[in-house]
Amino acid sequence: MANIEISDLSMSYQKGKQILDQLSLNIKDGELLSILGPSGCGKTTMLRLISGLIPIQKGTIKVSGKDISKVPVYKRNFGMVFQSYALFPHMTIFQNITFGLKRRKLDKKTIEQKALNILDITGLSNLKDRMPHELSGGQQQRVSLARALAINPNVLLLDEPLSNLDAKLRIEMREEIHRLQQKLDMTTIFVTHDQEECFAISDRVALMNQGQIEQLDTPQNIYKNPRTEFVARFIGYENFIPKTWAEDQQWQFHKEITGKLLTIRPENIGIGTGENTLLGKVVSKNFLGNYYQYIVDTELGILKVNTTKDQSETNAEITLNFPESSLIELEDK
Amino acid sequence: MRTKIKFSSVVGCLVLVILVVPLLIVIVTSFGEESAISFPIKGFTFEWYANVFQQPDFVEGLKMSSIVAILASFLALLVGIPIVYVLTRFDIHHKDWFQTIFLSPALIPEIVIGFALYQALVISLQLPLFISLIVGHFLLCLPYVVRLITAGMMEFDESIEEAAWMVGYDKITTFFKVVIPNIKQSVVAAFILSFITSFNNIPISLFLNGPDLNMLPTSILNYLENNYDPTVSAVSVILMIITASIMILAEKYLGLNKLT
Repeated sequence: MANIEISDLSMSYQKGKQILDQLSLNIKDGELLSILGPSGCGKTTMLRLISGLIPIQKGTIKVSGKDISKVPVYKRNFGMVFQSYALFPHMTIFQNITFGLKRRKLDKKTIEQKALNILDITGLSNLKDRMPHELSGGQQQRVSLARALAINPNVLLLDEPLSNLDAKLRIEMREEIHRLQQKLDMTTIFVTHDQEECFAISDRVALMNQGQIEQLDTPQNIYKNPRTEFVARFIGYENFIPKTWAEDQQWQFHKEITGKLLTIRPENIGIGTGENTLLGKVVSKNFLGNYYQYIVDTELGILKVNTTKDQSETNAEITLNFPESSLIELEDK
Repeated sequence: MRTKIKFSSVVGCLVLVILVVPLLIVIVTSFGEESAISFPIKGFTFEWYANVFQQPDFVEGLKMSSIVAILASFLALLVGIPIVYVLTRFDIHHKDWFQTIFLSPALIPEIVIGFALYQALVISLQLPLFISLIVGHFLLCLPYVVRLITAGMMEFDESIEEAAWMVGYDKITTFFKVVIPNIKQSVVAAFILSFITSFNNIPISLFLNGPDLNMLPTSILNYLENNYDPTVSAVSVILMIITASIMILAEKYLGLNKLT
């Protein structure tokens, strides 16, 4: 088991494009940390630097206090699950799992026992003599996970492991990853662009943008208190209110952060009079199962309002209120 | 749509006829009893096949052509596979440049390669003919190896190699334990195509042969200059059988689509 300290990690390609910019991050022993961000934010590069698949240009990575920056990939003893599963096509499932064990100085019996044990806890025992191409995507990814865990790695690295699976399998597989990670108390880094799957299983989330971490926090805190406009937009905030405008209107909100924007979730905007009101006109009303969504044209542009009650019709005038406690202040970046 | 199908099947049949009929005529003439090749044949005999094996030039040529084809193909694989690996897996400058260089022997007329090698290796450097011949055939085979192995490497997911590194194998061991077994089909296909190309080559062999170095195709050419008997038909049939059996084996174990 291991904790990871990443400090001042920078990476740029030859053409001068900065992929990672002095990034620092500590991952606790046994923690499941997600790296979340849009494509091109540097999250995969970061994982590949940690894994050793690409060499470090600047900065250090320490695992349990030891600098591993110069340790070659095959000596790091990290487990990795790839987006494309990357099973060895010419080996059976059993051989895939024992391949790494054979490299270690273990006798045949121990290898077999360890492999059978891993097959058992990942629920793959009945597939052990099959070839990878005979398995479904979900099964292949399970084997990939088993293969990574078989070598008893210090750290488990997951590179978008769910993005090739269909929706139902994705949920099943993420629960499986979570279960095994908890059971083995394995320090895990999970790279993804999907906020839902990341929020569901992570202890902490590092939300990345342009080679830097925008916010590092628990999923709840990121959801409830996005720090910047980028974070807010990425996790689904759509209503933004300029602070100077709110001050002109004499709205009440906490003035703790020096930024230019306020935001509020669509379900927190009230309909009817209350604190901090604004007039608007309903442009359209959409029924979305659990709630209605009103698209409202206001002085501030289009706002989205979600409500469980059917309260207004298209083209009607509407008064919106913005409770002080729900208005979130954002920092400038 | 229907006329299109009709048109293409007519053209297809025509090509087949143009291709197959001359071959059939060669096969038939190899059994004729007359001492000059004629069609239709009179009588039926295996005499010319027996005669093939009584011609030292043919027997030696068959042996030499096989040895050269095998050596040149092996050499091309030995050099070509690492080249392709580096070209497809490493970030190197002027990659397309190198790609073109290694494919270029296929673009230069073979007769020019033969002449150039004769000048450079045999006349200037005084290298033994056999070595020069192997070098020539190696150059002939290299583009096939480069092209087929490149295709094989492109199909092979790089993450699979990375997965082997992650579980503890260094890059060289990974190359032998993971990469090679997975591009095996391309390797075999490259070998077969190289072998056939080398085995059937005339232009390069023509410049680089000598008193003790007779290749089968050049021997046939020499024989034809002095004789016009059905022995030539018989040896052609034998060549066809050898090439066809290799292709059938390739088809059986690899699927012919791998060869093209």
